[in-house]
Amino acid sequence: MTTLMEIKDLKVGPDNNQINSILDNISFQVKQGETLAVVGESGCGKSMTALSIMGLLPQNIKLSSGSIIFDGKDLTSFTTKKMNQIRGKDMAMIFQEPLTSLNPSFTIGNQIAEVFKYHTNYNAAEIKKRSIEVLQKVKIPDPEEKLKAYPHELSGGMRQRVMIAMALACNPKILIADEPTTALDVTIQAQILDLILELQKDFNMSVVMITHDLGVVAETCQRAIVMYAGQIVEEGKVEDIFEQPLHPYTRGLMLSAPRLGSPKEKLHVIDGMVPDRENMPKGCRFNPRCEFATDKCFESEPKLEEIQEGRRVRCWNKLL
Amino acid sequence: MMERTIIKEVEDLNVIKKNSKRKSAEWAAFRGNKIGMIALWVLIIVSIMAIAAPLVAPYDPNTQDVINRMKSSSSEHWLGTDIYGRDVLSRIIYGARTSMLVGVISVALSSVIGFAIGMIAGYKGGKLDDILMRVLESIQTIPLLLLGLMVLVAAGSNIYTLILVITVGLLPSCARIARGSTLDVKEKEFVKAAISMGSGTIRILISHILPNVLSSFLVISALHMTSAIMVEASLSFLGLGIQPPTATWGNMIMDGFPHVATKPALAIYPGLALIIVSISFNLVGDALRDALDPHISKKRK
Amino acid sequence: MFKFIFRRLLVTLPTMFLTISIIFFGLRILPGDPAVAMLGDNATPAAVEALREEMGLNEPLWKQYLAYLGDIVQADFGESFISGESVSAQLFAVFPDTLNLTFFGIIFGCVIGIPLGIISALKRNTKIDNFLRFISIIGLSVPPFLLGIYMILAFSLKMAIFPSMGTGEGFLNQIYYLILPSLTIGLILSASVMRYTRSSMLDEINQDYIRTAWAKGIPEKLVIYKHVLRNTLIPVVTVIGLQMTGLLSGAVITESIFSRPGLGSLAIGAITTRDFPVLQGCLVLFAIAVMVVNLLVDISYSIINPRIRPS
Repeated sequence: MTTLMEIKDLKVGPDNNQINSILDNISFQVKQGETLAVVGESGCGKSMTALSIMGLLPQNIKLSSGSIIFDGKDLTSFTTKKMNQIRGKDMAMIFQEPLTSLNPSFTIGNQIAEVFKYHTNYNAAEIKKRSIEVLQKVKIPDPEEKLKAYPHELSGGMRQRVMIAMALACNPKILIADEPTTALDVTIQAQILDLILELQKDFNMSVVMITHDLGVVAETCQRAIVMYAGQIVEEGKVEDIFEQPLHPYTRGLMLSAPRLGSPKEKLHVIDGMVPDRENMPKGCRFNPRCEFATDKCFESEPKLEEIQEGRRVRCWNKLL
Repeated sequence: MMERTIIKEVEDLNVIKKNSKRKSAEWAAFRGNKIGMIALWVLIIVSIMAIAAPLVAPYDPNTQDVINRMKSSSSEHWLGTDIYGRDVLSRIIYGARTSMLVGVISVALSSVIGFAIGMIAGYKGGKLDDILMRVLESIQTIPLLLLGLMVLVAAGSNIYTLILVITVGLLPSCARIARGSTLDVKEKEFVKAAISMGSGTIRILISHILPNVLSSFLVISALHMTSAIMVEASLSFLGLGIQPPTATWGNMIMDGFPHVATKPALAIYPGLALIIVSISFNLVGDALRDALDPHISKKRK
Repeated sequence: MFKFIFRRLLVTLPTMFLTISIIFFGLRILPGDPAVAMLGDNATPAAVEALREEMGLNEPLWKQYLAYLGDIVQADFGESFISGESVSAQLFAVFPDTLNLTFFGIIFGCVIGIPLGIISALKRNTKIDNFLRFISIIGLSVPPFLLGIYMILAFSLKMAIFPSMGTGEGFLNQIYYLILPSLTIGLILSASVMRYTRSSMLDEINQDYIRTAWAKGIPEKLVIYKHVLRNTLIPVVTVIGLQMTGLLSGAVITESIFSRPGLGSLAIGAITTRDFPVLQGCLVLFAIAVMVVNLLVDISYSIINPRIRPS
């Protein structure tokens, strides 16, 4: 499999405070056609990673070092104008909140048409035809009617389908899905995930699935990256990570996920909370919550080591 | 039951503790706002000058000196003299007295009454709320200035009617704001707990709702001072406010306006005094809002 | 749509009724006798009594009230105490002048306030933003009469660009005469429009759907001017409705400073002559105008905001 995107040593932090960075030393690759999971608790930097890739960081947060190589070009050196030629065309993103992610003042058709208008040379009739096609692709009934609808006239699931349709309108090479199902009903969640997977195969695109839901990871992804406090702590194939987590944090995550068919015992809880950016513990960032922590963990920070092909972990006391 | 009472006491304590801690943080935030602090000092100085006008003013504001009328600035009369030869600076200082007095009284009255109405309407809800809000809405559709004109004509121009008019004009927005905050606070757990505990309406209003609407009370009072002073000046300018010879900025401008072509200073100086005080109240109000607004203070942390 | 307008009308009517009642009772419960106020303190008791009889002040309050309501429904505000002319005729003769002034004031207020608010929001927390915000505070702190005087000083007396009084002859000339007074109202309105545009725009920029627009890769200008601006302007329309009472108050005093005919000049003239019926008519007409504008604002709000448009 060829590498589609390579992220190297990404460091992101607030404008005025580069010491307490939000993302630290983030490096990973996205391969052609794969589904990569980025897992972690809220506040660990998953969404920030996604926004950095898309060049959509909030105004007061800046990328301070590192590179994002996509299709052989470094996106970090791109101007807004150049980024706009790629965003929505070669890479697309869908967000967590389908209810608020569509502009309430414009019709669905208007918002889909924008994508075609700036990334293709279609005329109005072609745009309409293609818009109907993408809505059909995401299985929205009555697509021609729906083009005239305003977002508030659609349900949450339908709106997320519209978001997906917009994202896939120009056959992107990579789709970043930031918790695409979190805000939806359980039954709708499965439909949306199936839809994303189905379309992935059709288009042969790569998907970066950002989620805190291990069920989603197990069902949809081939590889996974586990993040904690702005760092990658573990990376590997999904089966490997599920069967033999190497980092105590990953293990905690696995144990805290409820499993169907397992006896009704008390769920495992990882004590404590993700540390505050301004008060990062010395040494390993996970040490206050880690049951395996030794003196070394409090003294120096472990590096992300590659222990076999495609398997990396950041821990002094790997659970081997 | 016993246990519940204890829980409630602790909750109350938490509220109080939080309040006292919050207050110092808010004051620190206000002090950190340079422009707000400058404006506050301007207002303090103006207030002192207004109170101590007889000591500060170089001349008696009403002594006429026909020989020295309409003089330009000089070492004797810093801001010159008006058409009757009265010292402009002294009249501005005495004018501050009137403006501040009318402003403070009408803002205090309107805020206290308005907040009481708003809190009761918001807390009680239902028909009472509907009726009170409709009445206040109706008052708001009558331009304050015109209402003032009409009332002052009907009841005569004096300081009491003037204060009454301004108070009535400012009431609706106070009540609306108090009502809004009350509706928010009413939904909070500790108020629900107090209600379920059987606390009386007045007790809940005073001990739970009032502390939580106090910050909007302060902000709106500061901002309303500007409105009060501006309306007072406008009515006095039209000859319907405080009657001459008592100096107010409004009637000084009225006296100066006919001579604006030949002696613009007569309209400019009292106008500047008015603008400086209004701006200061607005800036203090804004600084207060920034310091007290929970949304903004969260961001600050 | 019609249902919405109808429902909105149903809410407006009681408010209108209430306002008209407040004007009536507010003036009756006050100390002081309108008849004395009209004739002056030196009038003979007989003259006062005669006037009271003529004005119907000796009737029971409820009868006066009903008569007053009936008159208003027929747009009959009685006769001027001074000229004997019908008040309604006088009101409608000068009403267009006040409307013109207010209309141009609103145009100036938006043309100046909205772009400055946008700049302020886009450059937030920079020197430009701080400067603009300070200017807007000044705008909120200057009463219209004072700004009017300063405008006359600067543009009529010092620079002699614009006339300081009157209305002019012919269409273009009339507009020329309108510029300075409507700019006075407009500048004051622009301060609150600017502040509102700024905060509304900042809210808007942080919305999820703006992020979506960026993610689609559409040009920056389109994100700002289509997606952000559209939703920013919706609340700004409401603020103009809310400012209507202030605007009309400003128009009243501006008219008198620039010696222009209009409701304000009529009202202020009526004060000097203690012409009670004219004054009452002005007040009622102003209140109705405010309510009608608010109604129109609400309706246009529902047109530009699909979220509350009933389908």
